[in-house]
Amino acid sequence: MVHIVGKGAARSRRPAVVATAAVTLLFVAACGSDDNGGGGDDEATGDVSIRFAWWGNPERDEITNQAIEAFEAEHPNIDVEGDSIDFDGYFDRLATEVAAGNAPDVITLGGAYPREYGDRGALLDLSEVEEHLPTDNIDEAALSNGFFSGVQYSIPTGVNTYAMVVNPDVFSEAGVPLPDDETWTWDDYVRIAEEISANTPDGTYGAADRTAPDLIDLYSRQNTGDGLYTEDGQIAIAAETAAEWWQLTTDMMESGATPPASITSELAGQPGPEQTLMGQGLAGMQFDWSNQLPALRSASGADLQLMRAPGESHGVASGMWLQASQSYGIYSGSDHPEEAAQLIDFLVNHEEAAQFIKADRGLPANSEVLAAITPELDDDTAAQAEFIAEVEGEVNPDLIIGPEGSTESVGIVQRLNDEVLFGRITPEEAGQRLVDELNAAIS
Amino acid sequence: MNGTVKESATEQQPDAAGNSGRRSQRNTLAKREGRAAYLFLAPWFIGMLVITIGPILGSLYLSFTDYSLLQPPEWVGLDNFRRMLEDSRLHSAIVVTVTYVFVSVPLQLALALALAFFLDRGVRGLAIYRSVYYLPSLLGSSVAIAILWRQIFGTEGLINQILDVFGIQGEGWVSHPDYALSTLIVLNVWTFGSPMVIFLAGLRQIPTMYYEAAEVDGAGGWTRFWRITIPLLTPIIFFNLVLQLIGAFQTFTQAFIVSGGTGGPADSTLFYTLYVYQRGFGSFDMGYASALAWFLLVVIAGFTAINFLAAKRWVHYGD
Amino acid sequence: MATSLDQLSDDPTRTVRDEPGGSPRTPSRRRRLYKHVILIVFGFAMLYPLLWMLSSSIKPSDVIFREPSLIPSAFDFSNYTEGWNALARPFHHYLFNSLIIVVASVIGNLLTCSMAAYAFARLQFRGKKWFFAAMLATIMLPIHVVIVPQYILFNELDWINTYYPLIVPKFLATDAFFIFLMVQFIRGLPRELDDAARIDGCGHFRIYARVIMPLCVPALATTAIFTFIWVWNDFYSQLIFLTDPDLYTVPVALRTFVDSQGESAWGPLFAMSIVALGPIFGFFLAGQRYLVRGIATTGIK
Repeated sequence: MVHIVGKGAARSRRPAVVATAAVTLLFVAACGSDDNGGGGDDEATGDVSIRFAWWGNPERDEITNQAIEAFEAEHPNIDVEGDSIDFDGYFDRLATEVAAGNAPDVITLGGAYPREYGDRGALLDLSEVEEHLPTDNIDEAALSNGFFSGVQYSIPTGVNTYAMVVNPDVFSEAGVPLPDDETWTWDDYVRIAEEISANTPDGTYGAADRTAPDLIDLYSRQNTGDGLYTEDGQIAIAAETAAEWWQLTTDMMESGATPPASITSELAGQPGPEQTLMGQGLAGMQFDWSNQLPALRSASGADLQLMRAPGESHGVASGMWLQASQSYGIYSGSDHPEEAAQLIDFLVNHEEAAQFIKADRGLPANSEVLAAITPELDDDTAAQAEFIAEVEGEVNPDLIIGPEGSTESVGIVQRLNDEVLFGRITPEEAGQRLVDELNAAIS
Repeated sequence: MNGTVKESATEQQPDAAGNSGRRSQRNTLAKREGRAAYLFLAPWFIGMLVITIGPILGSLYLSFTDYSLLQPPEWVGLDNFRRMLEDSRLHSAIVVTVTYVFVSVPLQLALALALAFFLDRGVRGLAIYRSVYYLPSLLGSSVAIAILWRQIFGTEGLINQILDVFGIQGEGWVSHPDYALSTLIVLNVWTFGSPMVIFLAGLRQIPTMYYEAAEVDGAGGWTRFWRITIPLLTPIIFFNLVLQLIGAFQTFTQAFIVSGGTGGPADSTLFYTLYVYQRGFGSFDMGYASALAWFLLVVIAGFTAINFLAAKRWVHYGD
Repeated sequence: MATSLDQLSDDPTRTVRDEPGGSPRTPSRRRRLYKHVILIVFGFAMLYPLLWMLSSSIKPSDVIFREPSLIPSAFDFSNYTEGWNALARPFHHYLFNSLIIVVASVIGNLLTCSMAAYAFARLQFRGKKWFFAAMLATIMLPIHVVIVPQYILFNELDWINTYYPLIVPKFLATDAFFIFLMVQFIRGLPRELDDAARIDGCGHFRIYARVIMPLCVPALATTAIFTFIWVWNDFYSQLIFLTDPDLYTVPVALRTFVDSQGESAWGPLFAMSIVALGPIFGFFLAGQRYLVRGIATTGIK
C-alpha cells in the first residue's frame, strides 16, 4: 500500500517539473535573443550570415534574389539568406520567430506594422547604425512612416498613394465623360457612379465600395483635418464623420451606384486585385493603392488611369497622402545589425539594386535612385510615377500611423461595413461603434 | 471504453486483502502485461514528455498572462478569463461554432455512413465512385478553394445560374450574413470522404463468419443489418462521432479560406478557433488567445466525456 | 440520424441478397441503372472542383476571372511549364521535399501509433484511463496557441529549418487521431483470436505483430492514406518551421504563387495545384485497395 502511494506521488511530481521546464523555456526565449540568431557564421574568416525576409510573388522573389547576389558580390564577407512567403503566412511566421528570439535580421514591414513591432521593442533604433544607412535622399513623408516615439524604426522601400482608379472603357460605354479630378466633389462622384450604373449592362457598376480604414482616414481628413488617429496614439476621428461616410455609401448602394451588399462583402473576402470589380473590368471607379495599377491593368485588360480622390480641392485639408509602400527594419535581437544596415542601404539607396527591383516595392523613395531608373520604367509603372509626381506637392504630408493595436482596424471596418450595408445597423450606430471598437483595439 | 474504465479503476484500489498464492501469480502476470504495455507505449511516452506536454503547458501558463508575442509574457492572473465574460465577439463566435457543430457533424456522418454502405459492395465500378467521392477531401486548404467557393456560391455562381434557369433570383450565398454559415456547412458535408473511408474500413473489418452464421439461422437482410452490421460497426461510428465533434469545434481552415480570415460577413462565420487565431496573431494578444483555447479544451473535453459515458449504452466491442 | 439510417437500411440488405444470386432479372437491372445514374450525378458534384481547377489551369492567367465558363475558349498549357519553373527551384524539388516528409510520417505513424493502440486496446496497466484521456486531450487545443511554444522548443533543439519538427513527432506517436482509430479497430476484433495465440505460447510482441496487425490492414491502410494526405496538405506547421526556400514543401511553395498585395500567378497556381493533387490521389487509389476484407475476417480461426 505504502509502495503504491509512494509511486503515485513520484509520478504526480513529474508533470510539475515538465511544466516548470516549459515555462522557463518561454521566458528564456522571450527575454531576448540568444546567440543562434544569425547562424552559420564562419568566425575564422570573419564571414557573416544574415537573414532577410519579405513577402510576395515569384517575380518579386526572382528580382530580389538578383539584388541579393549583387549585394553579396559587393560584400564578399556577407552571406544573405532570403526567405519569402505570401503576405498572410509572412506575418504569422514573423510573430512566431520574434517570440522565440529567432527573427530575420532584415524584416520587411508595411502599413502600421512598423509601429506594432517598433513600439513593442522588436525593431532596432536605426540611429544606432546610421553610418551604414544614410537617409538623406529619401522622401521625407515616406520616411516619417517609420518614425515613432522619437525613433526611426524603418526605412521606406518606395512611395505609394491611395487614389482613385478609373476605367475609361466603362466611362465611354456609359457615355459619361471622365471627371476633372482637380475640381470634382463627392457629389460629382456619386452622380457619375449612378450614371455609369444606369447606362451599362447589369453587373457593371459605377464604383466599387472599397470602405476600409484608409478610405475613412482620407474622408475624415478632408472633412475635419484629422484622420483616424492623433499624433500621440489616440483616436481622432469623430463618430459623426464616420457616420456621414456610411450614409454616403449606403445611399450609393441603394441607388445602384455601387453593388448590392452581398457583392461588396463577397469581394472583400477575395485574395487579390484580379478579383476586384476593377480587375474584372466591371467598375468605372475604385479606390486603390497606386502600385496596384499594373496588376489591375493586366487583369482588366483596360487602360486604367489614376485620379485624385473626389473632394480634394474642397475640404479643410487634403485627404490624400504619400505612404511607404513597404519598409525595411532591423530585428532588435540581430547579431549583425551593421551588416543588416548595409543590406538595407544597398536595397534602397543603390542604383545596382534598383536595376533589378525597379518599382516592385513602390516607386523608389530615394530621389536619385528614382531619377536613375525612370527611363527604364514600363508604361504601367511610368503612369504611376507620373501621377505621384503630379500630386506630391499637394497631398497631406502629416500622415499619422496608428498606434499598437491599430492593425485591427481593417477587420473592424470591414465588419461594420457589412453590418451597415446589410441594414443591420444604421450609419450612425456604425460611426459610434467604429470609435468605440478602435478605442478598445488600441487600449 | 466501459470495460477499461472499470478495470483500471479497481486496479488502483489498494489491495486490502492478504495475498493468496493464486492472486500473486495473477499479479506477476499482470505486472508482466503492464511492463509490456509500457514498452508498447514507450514512443508515446517520450513524445508526450519531450514534444507534446511542454507546449501544451506553455500555452496554459500563457493563458494567465498578457502576452503580445513580441514582448515577454506578464502574469495577470485570471484577467483573461474575466475578459471572456464581456467579449461580445466571443459570444457570437460561440453561437456560430455550436450551431455549426450540431448541424454539420450529424449531417456529415449520416452522409458518410450512407455512402459507405452504398459503396461497400454490389455496385460495379465501386473503386471509381469511391475515389471520385473522396476527391473534395483531397483539396486541402489551397487558396483555390476560396475562389472555387465563390464560383459555386457567389452571386454569379453556379448555384445561382442553375436557379436562374428556373427563374429564381438567388442571393450571394457565401457573402450574405444569413447564409454564409450554411455554405460552410455544405462545404464540410461535401468533404465527407474521410469519415466515409473510415466507415468503409470498419465494414471490411466485420468478420463474414457472423453473416454466414446468421444466414444459417435464417435471418433476413434487414435483421442481419440491424443485428450484425450496425452493432459491430458501433466502435467505428463512435470513433467518427468523437473525432468529428472534436474537429468541428476546432473548425478553422475552411472558414479562414472562404472568408479571407475575417470570419465575415459581419462575423457570421467567425468560428471559435478563427477568433482565437485573430486574437493571437492579428491582435498580438496571445495571452487572451491561450485563455480562449483552454476554455475550448474544457468544453470539448466535457462533450467527449459525455460521449464516452453514453457509449456504454450503445457501443459494442469484440473484446 | 435515426431517420437517415432507416432510409439507408434497405440498400446493404438488398445488395447482400443480390450478390450470391447474380441472375440478370430486369427489375434488378433497372434498379442498378438508377443507382448508377444517382451515383454519377452525385459524382459530378464531387468532381466539379477538380474540373474547374483543370479548366482554370489551361486558361491564360488574365482571363481566369473574366471568363467563368467551365469549358475554356482556348487551350493553353503554358501555365504548366511556367508554373513548374516559376519559383526559385523547379517544382519537382518541392514535390521531392514533401515526399520525404510524407513517407517518413507514414512510416512513423504506422509503427508507433499502432503500438500505442495495441497497448490501449489489449493490455491492462496502471493509469491506462488517465493516459488515454491525456492522449485525447492533446488534440483538443487549437494549433495556433501551441505553435509558438512549439517553435520555441524546436528552436532550442536547433531543429528550425530542418525536417525534424515535422518527422520526429510522427515517430513518437503524437497523432492521437490514429491511435484512437486503431484502438477502436483492435477492440472490434474478437478476443478469442489473441487468446488462442496466447495459449500457443505467443508473447505480446508476437500477438501484436503476427495476429493483430495482419487483421488491422483496413485500419493501417486508413492511417497511411490519411497521414499521407494530411501531411501533404498541412500548410501551417511547414510554413512556420521551414523558412529556407530550398526546404519548402508543396503547400508552402503553392502559397508563394499568390500575392494579396499585387499580381498573383493564378494560372500557374492552378496548374501546380493540379500537379500537387497527383501524388495524393495516386496514393489514395493505391491505398484504398487495401481497404479489403482481411484474411481472418473472411475465415474462422
